Amino acid sequence: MTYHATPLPPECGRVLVVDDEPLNRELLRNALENLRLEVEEAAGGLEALKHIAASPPDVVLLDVAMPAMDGLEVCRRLKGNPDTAALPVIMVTAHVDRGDRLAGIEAGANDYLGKPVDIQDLMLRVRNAIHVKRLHDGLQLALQQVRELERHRDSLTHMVVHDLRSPLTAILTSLQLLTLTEGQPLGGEDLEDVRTAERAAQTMASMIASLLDISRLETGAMPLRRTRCDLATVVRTSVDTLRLLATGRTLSVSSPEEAVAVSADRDILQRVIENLAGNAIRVTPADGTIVFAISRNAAAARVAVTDAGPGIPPEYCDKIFDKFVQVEDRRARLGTGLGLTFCKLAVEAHGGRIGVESEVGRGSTFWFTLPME
Amino acid sequence: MATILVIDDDPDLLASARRALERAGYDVRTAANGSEALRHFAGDPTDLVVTDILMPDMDGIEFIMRLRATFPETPIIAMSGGGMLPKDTLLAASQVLGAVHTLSKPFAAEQLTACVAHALGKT
Repeated sequence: MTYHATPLPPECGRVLVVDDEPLNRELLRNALENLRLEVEEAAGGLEALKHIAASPPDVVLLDVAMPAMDGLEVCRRLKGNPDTAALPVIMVTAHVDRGDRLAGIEAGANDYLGKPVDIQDLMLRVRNAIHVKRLHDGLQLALQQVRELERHRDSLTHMVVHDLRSPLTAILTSLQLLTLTEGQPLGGEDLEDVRTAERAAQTMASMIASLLDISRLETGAMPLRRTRCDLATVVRTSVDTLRLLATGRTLSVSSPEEAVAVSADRDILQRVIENLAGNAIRVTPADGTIVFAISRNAAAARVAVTDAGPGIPPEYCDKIFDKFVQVEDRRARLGTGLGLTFCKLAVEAHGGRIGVESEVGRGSTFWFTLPME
Repeated sequence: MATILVIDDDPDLLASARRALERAGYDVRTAANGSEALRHFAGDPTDLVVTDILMPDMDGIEFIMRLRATFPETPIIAMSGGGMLPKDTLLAASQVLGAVHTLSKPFAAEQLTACVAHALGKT
């Protein structure tokens, strides 16, 4: 009977052979190298433990009867150490009696191989052990990625909570000031309190919307409802809704004479523009100007929003749209950072690109493109 | 009239804090981050400073350390809504650095004015 084991690819396994007999090691080395496995040797238990600590193999072939430290003790130590517990150990011994087998299994060995070694037997057991090791390594990697993701999500949650508390403070403070006017008609300054509370509430509302939209866009749960629309009209509509918030700042829109027709989800597009415009308003001084420029070429339509804010250091310009990086680099944040992540995901869902050009001290231009119909 | 510098990166929080403090009879200046505040303070030192902790550019912790180095007598109130670290940790750190009071966001006008009055020794 022949055994058809799939040969392992050459980079696929490193086996440590532990035996005090040089001849036995050589025999196993030859057999394993014929299977295209990489082989390392240790002549005793302590040497094996040191070797494994320095450079863990994929499988250990462990002789039971060795002077100084026998194979059972090596196996117990490997299985007792969380760093090496998952390393498959195959016990190799001349005594294939029941007592030795049980002692090996009790010490935690994964498998057992009798001497003289049957090459097919060796090949199948080593292959299976490497397979289990690969599955284990794959799971470890996946677990690590999940943990990393969880850590990012936790820090994102903390930042969102932090960012919600500031506008909430503005609302509470403004409302409390209004209660002090009880019995008197509201004056011009009181109206300022109402506007501050209103702006802060809108900030909170848009943060919450962005957060929900980001997770929907990321999971593909937000299908685009594309219609043919004129980009200039969409920009002007968005800008008009923001004029109230702009208090004193000039909002200017420039566009080509003819319509710039794109196929886009009008609501989402409008929110992208409102996000970019909202950020521009936040960073631009009260007497400053914000310019919205719409342009086109044969391939793409482009919207650029230029603010008169403090600008963004170059090292942050590439990262500023990334949800997690923004959380890590808190100092680079610009207003409510989640809005930019939403913009990036939304523009990319349309097949467009988004970016920023900025100079510290002179302001920033956030731009995005959409493919022409 | 006592002068107060309020530092926060949220313009709405600045606007509402300014209104609350002006109503309570103080003269208020504002800054959006630590470095802007330091420049402000060098030219026009105020009687008290109220600063946020987590801000872009120069954060509140660094600002407090720098201000304490040059103006050790100026009382500082730290405010925070948390972030990567819990707000208690941030506020405790600012107290170790010499903040006389801390305000945990969200707070309302009364807490702010009470804290300021206490820090200025008026209660």
